[in-house]
Amino acid sequence: MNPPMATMLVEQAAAWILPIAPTGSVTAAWRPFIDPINAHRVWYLLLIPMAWLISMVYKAVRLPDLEKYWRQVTVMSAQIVLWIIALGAGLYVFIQHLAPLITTAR
Amino acid sequence: MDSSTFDPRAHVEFRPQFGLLAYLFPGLGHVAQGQRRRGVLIGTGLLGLFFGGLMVGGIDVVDRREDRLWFFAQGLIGPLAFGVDFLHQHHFKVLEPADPSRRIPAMPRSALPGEVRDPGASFFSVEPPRPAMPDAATGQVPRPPNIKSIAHMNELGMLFCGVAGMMNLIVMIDAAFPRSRRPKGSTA
Repeated sequence: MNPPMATMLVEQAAAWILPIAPTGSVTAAWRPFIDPINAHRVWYLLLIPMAWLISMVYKAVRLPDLEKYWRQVTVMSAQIVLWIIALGAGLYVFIQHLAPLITTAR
Repeated sequence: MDSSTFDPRAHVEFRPQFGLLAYLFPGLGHVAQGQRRRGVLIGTGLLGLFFGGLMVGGIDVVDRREDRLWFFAQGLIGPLAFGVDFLHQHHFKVLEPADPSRRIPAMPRSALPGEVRDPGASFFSVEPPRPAMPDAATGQVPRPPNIKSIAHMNELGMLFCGVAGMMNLIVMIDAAFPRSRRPKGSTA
């Protein structure tokens, strides 16, 4: 892969997350902790770090000993993410398929 | 876990000083009890949530004037939230002049695109905005002090910081009642 191609791919990837124009010119440098990130297309992925950090705090408080701490944190994070996905899927089915049946039945 | 391993007398123990320390800095209450690793993990998680929220939504997500209900939760993280809010209110906002005809008093607000803070203003003063003028040397127009977050980034940023505060309430309770969830003989 030639260097310009690699640079272009990195810029395209960065443009997905950060407010950097994919043309190679930085239109507005992002100021961390001052400006928001531009992750509107992948906002749902922020559930993963949030679940991980919540699990870190909760398990640090709850576990009697911290021997299996990271395993417990991983399990709880996965449980949160999977339950949120299940909740989303359940709501989708209800709104898209069940609610129309209720309204048409009347 | 076997419930018989709990010491029932431990439930009446109350040490408010550790709860206060947990409020002053996330995890400090547990570190002060000698549970250093637990305190460091708690502090890392809580600060990760709080600064993660600032990273996602910018400093705009901590605002006791515009998002008062969220700030009730965010403020539970301790003086850190009040410090960030003070910085936001006094260093990043501009003062919208009063409108006597509509009986609207002067109030701080986020600078709009094309507005900047008064360059002559001191670090912690809220002054009316100035129009952003292009730089004579580079021709670039300066940006506002901060960019206001909208939609998902604003919601998620506030949620990160709010969850950090609410989790710290759990941590404060755990620090103030040191043995309430610990098995007898545990020092972890």
